[in-house]
Amino acid sequence: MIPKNLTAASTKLIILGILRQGNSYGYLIIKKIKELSGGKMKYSDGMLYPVLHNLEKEGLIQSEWVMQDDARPRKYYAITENGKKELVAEREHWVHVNSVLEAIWQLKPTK
Amino acid sequence: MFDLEKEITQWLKSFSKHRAFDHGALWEMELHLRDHIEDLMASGHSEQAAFELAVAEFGDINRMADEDFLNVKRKTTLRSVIHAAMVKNYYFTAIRHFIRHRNYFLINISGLTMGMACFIMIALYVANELSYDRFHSKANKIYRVNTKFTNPNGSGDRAVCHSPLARTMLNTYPEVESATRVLRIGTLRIGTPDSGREHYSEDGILYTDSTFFDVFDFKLLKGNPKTALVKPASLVLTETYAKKYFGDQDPIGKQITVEDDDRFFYVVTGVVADVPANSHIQFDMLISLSTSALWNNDSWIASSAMHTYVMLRPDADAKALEKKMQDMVYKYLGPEIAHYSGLTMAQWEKAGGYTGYYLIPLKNIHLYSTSTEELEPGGRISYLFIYALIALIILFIAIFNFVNMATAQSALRAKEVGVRKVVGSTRGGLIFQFILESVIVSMLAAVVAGILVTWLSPLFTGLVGKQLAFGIASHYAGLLSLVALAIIVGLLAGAYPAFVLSSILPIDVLKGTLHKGTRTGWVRNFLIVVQFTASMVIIIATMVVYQQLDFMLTRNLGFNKDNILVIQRPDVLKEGQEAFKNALLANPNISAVAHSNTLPGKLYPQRSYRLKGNDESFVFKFNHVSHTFREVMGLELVAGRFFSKEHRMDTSAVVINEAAAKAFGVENPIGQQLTSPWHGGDLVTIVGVVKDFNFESLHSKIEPIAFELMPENSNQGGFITVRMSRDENVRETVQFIESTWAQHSNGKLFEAFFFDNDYEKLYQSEIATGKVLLVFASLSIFIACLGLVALLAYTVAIRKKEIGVRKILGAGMGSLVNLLSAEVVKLIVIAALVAWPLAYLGAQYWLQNFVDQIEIKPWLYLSATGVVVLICGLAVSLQVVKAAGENPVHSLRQD
Repeated sequence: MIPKNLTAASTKLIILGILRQGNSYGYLIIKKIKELSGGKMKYSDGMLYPVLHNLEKEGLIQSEWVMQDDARPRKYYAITENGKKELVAEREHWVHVNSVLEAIWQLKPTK
Repeated sequence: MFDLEKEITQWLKSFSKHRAFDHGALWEMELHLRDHIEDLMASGHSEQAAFELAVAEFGDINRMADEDFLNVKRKTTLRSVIHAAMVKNYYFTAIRHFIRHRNYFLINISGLTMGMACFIMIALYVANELSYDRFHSKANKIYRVNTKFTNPNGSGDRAVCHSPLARTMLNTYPEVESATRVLRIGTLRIGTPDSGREHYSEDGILYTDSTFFDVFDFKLLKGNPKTALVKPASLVLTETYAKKYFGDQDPIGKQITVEDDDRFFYVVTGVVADVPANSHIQFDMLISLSTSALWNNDSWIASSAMHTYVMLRPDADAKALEKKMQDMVYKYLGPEIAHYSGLTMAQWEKAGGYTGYYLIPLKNIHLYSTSTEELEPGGRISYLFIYALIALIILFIAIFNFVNMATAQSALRAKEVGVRKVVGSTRGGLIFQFILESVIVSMLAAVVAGILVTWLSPLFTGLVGKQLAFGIASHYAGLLSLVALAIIVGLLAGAYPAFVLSSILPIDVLKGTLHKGTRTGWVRNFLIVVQFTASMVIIIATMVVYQQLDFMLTRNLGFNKDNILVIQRPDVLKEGQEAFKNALLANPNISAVAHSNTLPGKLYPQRSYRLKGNDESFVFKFNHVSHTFREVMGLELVAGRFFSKEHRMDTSAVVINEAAAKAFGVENPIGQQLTSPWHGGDLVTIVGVVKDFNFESLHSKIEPIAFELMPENSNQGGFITVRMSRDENVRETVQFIESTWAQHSNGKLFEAFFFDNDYEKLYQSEIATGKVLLVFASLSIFIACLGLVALLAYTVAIRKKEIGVRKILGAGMGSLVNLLSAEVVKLIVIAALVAWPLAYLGAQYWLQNFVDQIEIKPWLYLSATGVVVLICGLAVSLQVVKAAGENPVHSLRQD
């Protein structure tokens, strides 16, 4: 199981990443995360919403209610241009962290 | 048993405790939970297990709330509530709503329009009354000098003072910057070079000092304000009169005759703009007071009393000046009092005599003056209060209609409110939306009301019996106030419904648990009670006013005012008066003809008397009358006799009324001998006592009066009164009188009026108030009923199904009517119980104006209530009977 603080740190990137693939609503987003992590990343579902609302406030995503006669209304979230830029930047940070980690795994223990 | 819906509601409730979540967030999470539960159930969980699992995975609400609160915490500024783009949306939503529910909307707006129109009309009238005499630029510094006097038999307050006072004040007190006098004489015959033998009979003539234009701002269009009224026989015409006499010719320098005196020409020296309606000084022409030397001599008591206006210097203290003015009484009036009464000032004061001057600000004259002998009948501030109150009541009745309909119809808006909230509308935004909507309605109503008022203003001025100086559109301030009124009414009408509508929870709407029209029922009932209470108070007040008027105009006044024709200016007959009277008596329809100096309801001079051998003076109202005066007026004798031709010594006889007899305090007044300064040293004898009669207005109590015999062919003027013995042939009789006048007067103008019409003018302001009340009482009850009908129509519409079911189950018409109208009847009964004590207090307050008052009988209250119940009953039963009579199949088939 991945520790909580690590999960929290990556949430932003994960959400933006999911939304880059297409608009989605809260329940679907969390379902997707669970699927992708194979159940290893565990959220309390409710904590997703403050993050979504925060991202919206920062202008990285935007939301819209979609009302249909024959289905439940949904609040769909979509990534904005700013969100996409942010995603690229964020991804670079993680790649950087990843390469540092990679390098660290290569090091031999000194005696 | 597990109830999923109940559990979800419960779960949501724990969210709504946190301010972090708005309606949109709440709904979002509810939907999340439902999706999750559905998925879990699809994978084989039981309903309960799915719910518990979903809630557990959702996690701790409090932590979430703290987190989310950081996101939503923002300052509620006006801009966060009102977005420009939303205003447009609100506007179109409003219009769409109006069109969809146009029947209710039309009722709503017509009620509001009527209410506003009434309000605007009355407000205009009140504003006009309050604006009296304020157009003079120096109005703040101008005062009129009034006279107060007291003697043992009463006191008085006159709008006039002694003629030399103006000059004396100007010479004595440095505070006085300028002074001017105004004298009104009555009807005069005016001739112009072109009018030939025809004459104009004019009563709008004022004699004034040359300083008239210094003090007042009446605008002189032609001529020099400094010199126009200096020379004797100078004459200034108003624009209208200049046109009337001279058409398009230049009137300056033209000659005019007054009273057929061809040897003496008046010269037009100026043209003044027409007098504004809100001036207490009204005139058609001004003539210089220097025309007669009599008006400018130094005699105080024997001079004509004049309306005297003084303009004080800016730093002058009116109160202090008022005190100093009493010196004039001792210095100038004292010697004259001594001359006429034989009493020194000290003796006179000891006997209770008092004369004093006081200053009344020009701006207060119209509404606050209590003096007699005003130039124009004044308004009464207490009536203005009544009018203002009625205006407010009607406006609020209309506003309450609007509030009631809007809250009753909240079910219609619930879905919209739900959706708006879910998509993120704040409560502030919704409140703004609904208030904006009511402001739009009230703006529309105000525009229509403004047009109505302009269109109906002749009717209204006819109703109140006077012209208004300005209307709604005559000044930008009027239009601005109209806009202000629309906004205020919109706010008042919209605030409460906005509060109610914006409090609707989207959860209730989505679940269908919103009760249609039952919410806020008590507020609605309260407003209905207030409306009907107000209507009933106005109706009772109207009935009281009418009863009091009827009482005053038809009760036994102590004389008979009917079938009397009054002919003015008998003095123009000169020596022919007796011959004229005798000629009239030849007509069988004329039973008596008399001549008197004054008449009931008109002004009375005064005379003082002393019982022989007694120092005490009594000042009585006084009238010179001919032998037949008692016969014409129908006065009743209680002791002795009236004047008679058989008693040649009646020139020194006096007839008094009961009040005068009581004042003398002697057992048997008949035969008592009196002295009076007017008779020098001669004694006069009381020969008769007449029963008290209302020779002045019923506003005041009956005072002592003395009659003396009018000399034959007197040149005093006064009135010839002709009693016609029968009601029929009145027209022929009047024609006969007129032709007889023409023969005896050598073609002089015949001026006559019916006494009863003239007497009723005393109650002009009461009659006008009565009419105003009647009209506005009808309107108020109409508007209130309009609201009730709309409300009932709506109730019936939403209870249609219930009515249908009840009918199918066998409910009869009677029980359905009872079902739907029981509530209304209950409210009206409550309204009646509240209205009665209020109306009683109001009526008592108004009746204080009268010495003889009607007694308010209980049936009056009952019948007022009956009227309201009847009108409401009619309005309600139309709706109810229609609903109850409908085929239930129609209402039930809809599902």
